Amino acid sequence: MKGALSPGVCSKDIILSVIAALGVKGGLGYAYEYGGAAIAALPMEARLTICNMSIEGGARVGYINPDQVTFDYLEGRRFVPRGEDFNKAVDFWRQIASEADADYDDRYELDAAALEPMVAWGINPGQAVGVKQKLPKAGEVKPEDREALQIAYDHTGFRAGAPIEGQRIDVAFIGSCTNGRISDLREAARLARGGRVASHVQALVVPGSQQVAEQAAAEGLPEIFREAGFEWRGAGCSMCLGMNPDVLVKDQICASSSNRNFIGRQGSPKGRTLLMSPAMAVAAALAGEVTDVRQMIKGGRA
Amino acid sequence: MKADSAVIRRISGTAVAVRGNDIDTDRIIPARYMKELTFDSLGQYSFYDRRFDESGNPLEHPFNDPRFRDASILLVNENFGCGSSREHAPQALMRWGIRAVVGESFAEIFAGNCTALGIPTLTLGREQIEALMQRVESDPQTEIRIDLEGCNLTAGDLSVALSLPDTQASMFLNGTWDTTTILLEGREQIGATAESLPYMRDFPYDHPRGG
Repeated sequence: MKGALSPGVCSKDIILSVIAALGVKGGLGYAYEYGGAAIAALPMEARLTICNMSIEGGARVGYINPDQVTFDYLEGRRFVPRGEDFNKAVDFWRQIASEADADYDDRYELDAAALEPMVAWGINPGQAVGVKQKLPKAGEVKPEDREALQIAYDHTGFRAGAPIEGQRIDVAFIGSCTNGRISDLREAARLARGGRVASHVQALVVPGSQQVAEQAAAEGLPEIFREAGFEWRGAGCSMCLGMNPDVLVKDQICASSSNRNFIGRQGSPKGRTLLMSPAMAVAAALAGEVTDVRQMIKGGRA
Repeated sequence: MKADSAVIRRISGTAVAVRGNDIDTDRIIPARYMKELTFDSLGQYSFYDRRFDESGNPLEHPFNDPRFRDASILLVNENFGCGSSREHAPQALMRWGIRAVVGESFAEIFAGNCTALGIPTLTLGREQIEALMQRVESDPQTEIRIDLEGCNLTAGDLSVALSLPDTQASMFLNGTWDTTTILLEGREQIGATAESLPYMRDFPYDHPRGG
């Protein structure tokens, strides 16, 4: 991953773009290693988002080689060796990083500078487009992906060739193991501050863990979200998979920072899930429709 | 415990085909049915949202077709079981009565979860699975025989070779697919391995005491 991400584009967009390009079976039988300037520049939590979604690309596992960002993140954390032991651990971790001349079964290159915010609109995480792009026609996808494309259009009711930007939403969900970390919530709060959730939208912010919930509370984030019309909830999985009462109703459309958009995933067999970054989900909550968070940033809202 | 009863060499029975690529575990069992205290009654939720509409009326689905109700071999296409790693997916299929899954490819975590329940996930080419699905759909009573030693499958006069990674094949043939039991049996070796790992031996993690 070369280049640098533009403002408003984040690691979620990198991994959605990778899965869109390589498909949900792309990594089957393999591990994904992510590297390059764009990855090296990412803070640890943004890296976790990418590795977390390797499974959605079919890979058994995904990883980023340990570097100073990793070591700094780990130092002082619970379960991490301390003192002289930590230095030994760092020496060991350096040894297990891939060599510069390592052999790979395949390589895929992406220019992060050219990346735009992504939206997975269909029924698997590989059916994703840039926010400024139009939904694909059958002839524009690989032959083996056409069946899934048809199922996606049958399920979503969206039209091939239509833009995804401007698609009205009913629910916005910021949370999940993919994007429910403190850095995600800080970014979401930065964008939500002073705004107002659209009147027809239910917007939920759900910290990924108790620790994140406590940290967010200490930083005053719940108040920012509540003032903007978001519901601040207890930590958990919530609307990622619909195991608690946080579920879509009928064919509601959800702008979601989670990782899976399979049919029925958010609790309603007819529900529709649009996967995107937390920043894009906040933007959608405020606008009431899918919108380009980059314009919100340019417009001085954040 | 490694018991002879755990050895799986052959599986035979009728089959049911569930067509389509990338059938995810949310389709195999929607998350809202994962809240049972045990796995016992999960079978009825297999492919639930594909088998019933929102009002509970049955839809057309192979699992709703009485001709396939006793099938024990599931035929699928590509990347079956992708998505959530939920063990509930193979558990639901097992409780339904499925004893083996044959398809073009499997999501890896799903295949691992199946293996740990004693359900082989065997692969074969597109033409072979298509021929097999057509055979089963036209004659649901076709007796399928899977031989894990020879790694092949017969359905009447149709005979096809199957692929199964050696490690998985040996787990079934030796009766060692129950990984929890293997772990419990291997305590000493696990301890020895742990002693040899740098991150256990040279710089142990900071043991939290009492949380």
